[in-house]
Amino acid sequence: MAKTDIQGTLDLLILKTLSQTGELHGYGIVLHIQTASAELLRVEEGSLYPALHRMEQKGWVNSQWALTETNRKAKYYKLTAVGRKQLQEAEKSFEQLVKGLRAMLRYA
Amino acid sequence: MSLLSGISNLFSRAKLAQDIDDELQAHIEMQVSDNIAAGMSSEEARRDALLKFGNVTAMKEKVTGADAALTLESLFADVRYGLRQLVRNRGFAVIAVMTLALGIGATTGIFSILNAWIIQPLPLKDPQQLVIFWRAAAASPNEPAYYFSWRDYLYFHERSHAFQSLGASFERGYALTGRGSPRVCTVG
Repeated sequence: MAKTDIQGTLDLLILKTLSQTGELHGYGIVLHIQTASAELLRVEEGSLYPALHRMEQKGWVNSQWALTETNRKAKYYKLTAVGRKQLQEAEKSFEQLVKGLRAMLRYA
Repeated sequence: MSLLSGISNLFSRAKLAQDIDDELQAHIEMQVSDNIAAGMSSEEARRDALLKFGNVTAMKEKVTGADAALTLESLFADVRYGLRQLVRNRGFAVIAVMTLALGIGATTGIFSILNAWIIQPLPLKDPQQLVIFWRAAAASPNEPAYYFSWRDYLYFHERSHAFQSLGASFERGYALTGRGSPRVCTVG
């Protein structure tokens, strides 16, 4: 059974963003999710940063301070090997959730 | 997390908080820059960025919470690891315990001596009952102005029942001469 809740979806969005972009700061993650979802999804900063720190503690991502293109210091996050595995599981789990939801909605 | 980084984490709370602060601030600043690039005035850009971001203080607490909860968990893991290591290296454990015991014992001993000599207040049963009284001039009632005579003291000693006991003291400077240059010597 799929174990995807709201939190799991947020984690999935963040993990996927980092796997698509390589290395990114929090602000960039918000922008990327917005753009990549055709403006349909917007991640709240209030959930994003606690999630990033939680994921770093779990060892899914690691972070380091670096300069942005405009020479500003920002904390960049990057997937670890554990994070990559976690992403695969989260994607699988999400597919199942969607399938389950579809089936549920079509049930008559 | 290794034991060492766990311990250093405890000491770098302030640095961690600063780190979170910087991270969130950087986010707001990037939003401001983008807003300006999109054509807003700098004031408008900042207001919009702060509005979008929401309550910074509340968010700082949430982020710190995300860090702290897991820091505590790993602290317990470190403690368990430490205990296992102590059981494995008995000799080390014994020496460590003895070092601690001697250290604590010596410190306690030195402290009790210092405490008795220096830190403890007057060697009286109830120091809060100690009072001093003097004769003052009407113009400055808070400063002693005249000495009581020896007869005054005897009089108080005989007639006063307000005090458990009475004593007299006086203070005067004398010039001490002899070898070398004279010094003022205060006598009480």
